[in-house]
Amino acid sequence: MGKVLGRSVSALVSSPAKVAKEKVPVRPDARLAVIWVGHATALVQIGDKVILTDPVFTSTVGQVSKRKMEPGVDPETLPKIDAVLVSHLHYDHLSLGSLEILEPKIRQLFLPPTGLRYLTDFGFPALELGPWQTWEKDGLKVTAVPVAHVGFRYGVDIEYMQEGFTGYVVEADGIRVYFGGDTAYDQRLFVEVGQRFPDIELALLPIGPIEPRALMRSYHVDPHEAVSAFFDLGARRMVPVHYDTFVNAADEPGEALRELEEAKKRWKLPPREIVPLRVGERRVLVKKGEKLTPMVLDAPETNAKPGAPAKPKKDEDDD
Amino acid sequence: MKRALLAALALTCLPAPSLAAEPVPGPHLVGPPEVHYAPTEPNLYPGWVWLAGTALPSPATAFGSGAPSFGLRWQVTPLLWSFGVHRATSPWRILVVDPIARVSGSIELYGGFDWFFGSVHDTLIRPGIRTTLPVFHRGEYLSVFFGTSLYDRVGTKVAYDAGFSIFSGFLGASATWAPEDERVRAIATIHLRVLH
Repeated sequence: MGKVLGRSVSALVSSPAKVAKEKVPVRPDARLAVIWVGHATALVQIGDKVILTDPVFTSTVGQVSKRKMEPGVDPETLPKIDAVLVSHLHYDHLSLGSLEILEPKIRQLFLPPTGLRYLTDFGFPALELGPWQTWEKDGLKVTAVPVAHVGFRYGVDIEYMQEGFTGYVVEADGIRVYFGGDTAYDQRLFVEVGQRFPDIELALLPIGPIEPRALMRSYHVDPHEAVSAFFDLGARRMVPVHYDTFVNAADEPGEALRELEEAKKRWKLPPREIVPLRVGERRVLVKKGEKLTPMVLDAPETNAKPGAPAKPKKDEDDD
Repeated sequence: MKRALLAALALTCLPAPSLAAEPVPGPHLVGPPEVHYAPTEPNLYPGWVWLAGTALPSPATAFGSGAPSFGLRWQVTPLLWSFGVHRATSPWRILVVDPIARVSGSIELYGGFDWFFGSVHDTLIRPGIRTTLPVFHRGEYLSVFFGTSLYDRVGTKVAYDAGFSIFSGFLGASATWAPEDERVRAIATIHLRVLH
């Protein structure tokens, strides 16, 4: 706690680190592309659809937790956003100040159940999606999928705000993208999502905060659990999010990525891929006109098939 | 006419087409679309957090004709109407007030209980009305409020309030001005609000 407080105070008097940003966030030659804006904010382009997850562009969250890195995209360069996905109601995911900035650009916003209670009134349409509930329009399909987290925003509302958290599967142009928001590791949930939505092309999964583990375990996956969830989902690619952006955990800077590297060693990844991005970095995962090829898994490594609980395959050195 | 009647008769005598041989396409039945996107309204009730929050006093100092007096102030909110919450949700709060409902813009009826000790040794019960307006981040980072209240102290007195809140309304400060009350002309208060 003291460590977090110390970092918060030192961050308050320092400016967020500059990052290289894409001037044109959406590329016409991409069928699937993603930019990590920072924390749980990612700009996903699927064909001509633009999706933004948990948008946070403010310098602080909750008025005290300071941003360490600039947002990876300037909000004014954003095009119209077809869907904004809000995974839960914590300050670092439902940022009302950020939504004020983005308001003219948002075509549709989605929240978990009870989310409208805390959204306040904006000019864009907003809907709550319950578990497995789907919304579809103009070739864009958004389904809320269950995750394991908490539904309150302020802490004092813990008694009655118990439903406000979700993940999402977005489908467009024949491509499926999973966004986990914040979640603890519950294998049953990830496997079920993988069964209901086979061939997820991209999974945006949190890898922090990690410490203190005894507390965080019930609410947040660590990098090892995130990779397990990635295999449970049966997804092809994973982009890690929710780390090293704000001062809001006891994690050392870089710790999440170091542990992710350790976690990767425990699995035989190909043909799957884990793609850590720098804040502001864009990765085109599928080019326009490129066809998706089904994943071919080697027999001994098929423990990650959808429907089968994922088990880490340890290296021989580990045994 | 006769020819038409014969043709109609001939048609009725034709064997019925075999349905089994070539099934007639029926209506394509699909499930009802999922369009029930009604918001989920949580059931706010005065639980232990509300009780603890309501019992938590806000420290205050009264200024008047005598020396400044320290005091404690409590509040309950029987009714609040929020004009800042999403239009699809209820704007009304009874007793339990989630922070965003107040700081995003609201008008509330409240009951206050003040206890001062020092040169002013007194208790005041004051019903009042207050409006809160958002400034930054829908009021969560900064909101301001104005209000007025009545209390009985050698006749009915009127007081006026103005103040601000930060941290989603959990912390704030206000000044209360009672021009007709010489003993308690002004009150400076640090507001601590938790669901009440």
